[in-house]
Amino acid sequence: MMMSSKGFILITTLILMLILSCISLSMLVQTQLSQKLAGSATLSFQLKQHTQSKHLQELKQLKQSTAESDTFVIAPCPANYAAWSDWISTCEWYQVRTTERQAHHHHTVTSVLVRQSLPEGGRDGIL
Amino acid sequence: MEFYRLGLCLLLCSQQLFADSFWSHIPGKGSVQLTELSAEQHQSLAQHLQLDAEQTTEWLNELPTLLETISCSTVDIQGQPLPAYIDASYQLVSYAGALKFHTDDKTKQTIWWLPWTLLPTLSQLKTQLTDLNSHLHQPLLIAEQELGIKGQLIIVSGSSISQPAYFALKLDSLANLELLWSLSASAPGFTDLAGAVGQPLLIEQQKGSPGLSLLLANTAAQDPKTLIYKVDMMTGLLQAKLAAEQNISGVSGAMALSDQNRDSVSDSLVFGSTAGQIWQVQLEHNQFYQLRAVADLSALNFSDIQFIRTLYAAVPVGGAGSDFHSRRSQWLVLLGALRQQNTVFVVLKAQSEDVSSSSDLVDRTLPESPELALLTSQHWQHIQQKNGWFSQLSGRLTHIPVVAAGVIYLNLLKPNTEQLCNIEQSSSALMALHLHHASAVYRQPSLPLDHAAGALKVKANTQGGFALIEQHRQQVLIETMLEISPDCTHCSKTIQRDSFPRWQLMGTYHNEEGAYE
Repeated sequence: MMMSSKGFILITTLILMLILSCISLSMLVQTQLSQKLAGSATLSFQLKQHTQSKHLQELKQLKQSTAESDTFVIAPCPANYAAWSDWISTCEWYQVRTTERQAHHHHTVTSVLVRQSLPEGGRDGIL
Repeated sequence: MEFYRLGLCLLLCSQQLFADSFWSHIPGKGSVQLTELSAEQHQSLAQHLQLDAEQTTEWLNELPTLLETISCSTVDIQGQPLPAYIDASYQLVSYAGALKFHTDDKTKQTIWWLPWTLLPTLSQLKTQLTDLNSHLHQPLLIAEQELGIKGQLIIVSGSSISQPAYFALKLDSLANLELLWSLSASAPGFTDLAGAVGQPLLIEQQKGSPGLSLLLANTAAQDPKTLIYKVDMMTGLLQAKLAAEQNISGVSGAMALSDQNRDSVSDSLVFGSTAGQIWQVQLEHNQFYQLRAVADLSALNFSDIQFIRTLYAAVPVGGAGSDFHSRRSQWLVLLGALRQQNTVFVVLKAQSEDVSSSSDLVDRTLPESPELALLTSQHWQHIQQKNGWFSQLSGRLTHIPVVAAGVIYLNLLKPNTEQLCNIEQSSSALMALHLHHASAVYRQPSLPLDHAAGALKVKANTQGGFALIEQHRQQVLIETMLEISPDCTHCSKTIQRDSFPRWQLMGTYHNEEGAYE
């Protein structure tokens, strides 16, 4: 009688220990996962910020550069309240694309800009 | 003996004709100078004119005097300058097909190109030049940039008296004029060509057709089978036809191409009848399709249309108060039409379905006294709700109106009705109207000019802004150009040169891919 109750206590203890270890293990995994999740958001945010600041710099450089870029196409000017006849003003459409990578993640920012200029003498250049 | 007499006669003629040079093209024989005809060419000319040899010599003798009497300085003001690689001092003007290359430089001669079919009826030109109810459309100049051939110029013109024809000339210098092609009712595919007073239109790029093409209007007054021809620019070969439907007749020579889907390729043609009905047709792959009426302005009693242009603009749609800044991007049709020897200028908002009539437009003719020109907010709202406006102008437009920074600049000439061809007896003015409500933008709504102005150009001024100049005389017409501003109905400001180039951000897109481990 005495022997069987001892065995019961041992088995119960073992089962309890198993349950406890399962709970603690899963909690550990969960914590690690949430840490990763939290980290990924931060990393993603950092990457976005980095790409965006680089993109803004590229836009600034483009606007300041006087040299003609080869990435534009001449197309109709967008609608303006103070509109221009199409043979007086010229519009060039630029596309600026910035991509940043971090591990297996990449973030791309693309901007479409129009550069309107007034060439001397209009499009035919005759004054 | 007869031959020597003829030779002597020809020699004398050439002496008299030395001052100017006169070109034509004898079919099957090539381009000739009428002052240097061989005996055979002289005979061809005599046959063509239905005169005998001596009468032909006399005709040649009188040709300079005839052309001098035809010359019309009020038409000459419409002249277009030749590119610098040919000779920038020359202006080209067409007298219904007779081309005149003239210059202010007295040391240089005037050059005439006279279409062969026009020679027997040259004396009738004067009637056409002084017809105040119609507009004389000017030739199309295709320069080396568009052609891709250095040093070459192609001139395409219509010739409308006796046998209507469109023709193209090729030149690399003024001493070398060659007829490239000529299209009349005898040419294959053009049997119904009955009017050629239109201005040819160049199509630069078309999907599926690599070369340059031209659009030529059949300006026949009654029941034409074809309204518009599309031809190859270099050969004149027919590529497509727009067949007449919906009882369209009396097509005017004014047309405009636009890029409706804004992909840099012209895909839509706007044209009208002399009475003021406006149509639009889509054009792609040598096919015309979806012909539809845009407006019927015949109630405004036009006698001809001088110019049609399209403009893509942000049109105000709001009213007063918080709605003031609402705008919609849309196509505008700009129209210069003749009525009782004066011009009616129309700005029409192109509607996708409805056909606008004159009652959908607001009469914005400037009153005589400036204090009556006040635009109230009710008026402004009314203009925004309607399909556009029209303004009656005193005089005829001499050049295509220029729209710069929302201001329409109009070049007007009012000829003396008794001396129609005398520019000295005419009065000229420059008008500047607000694109959206046709009010005066500058203090003076109309600027009287001492000399009739040629083509208008925008040029940088010394004050860091832009000036409006007259190209031919290089005369400054407006020293400091203004730009309309959307801040208020009458707001305007000086256009600053350092505000160019202007950058406009059209959109920013973000894209994220991949995952963290």
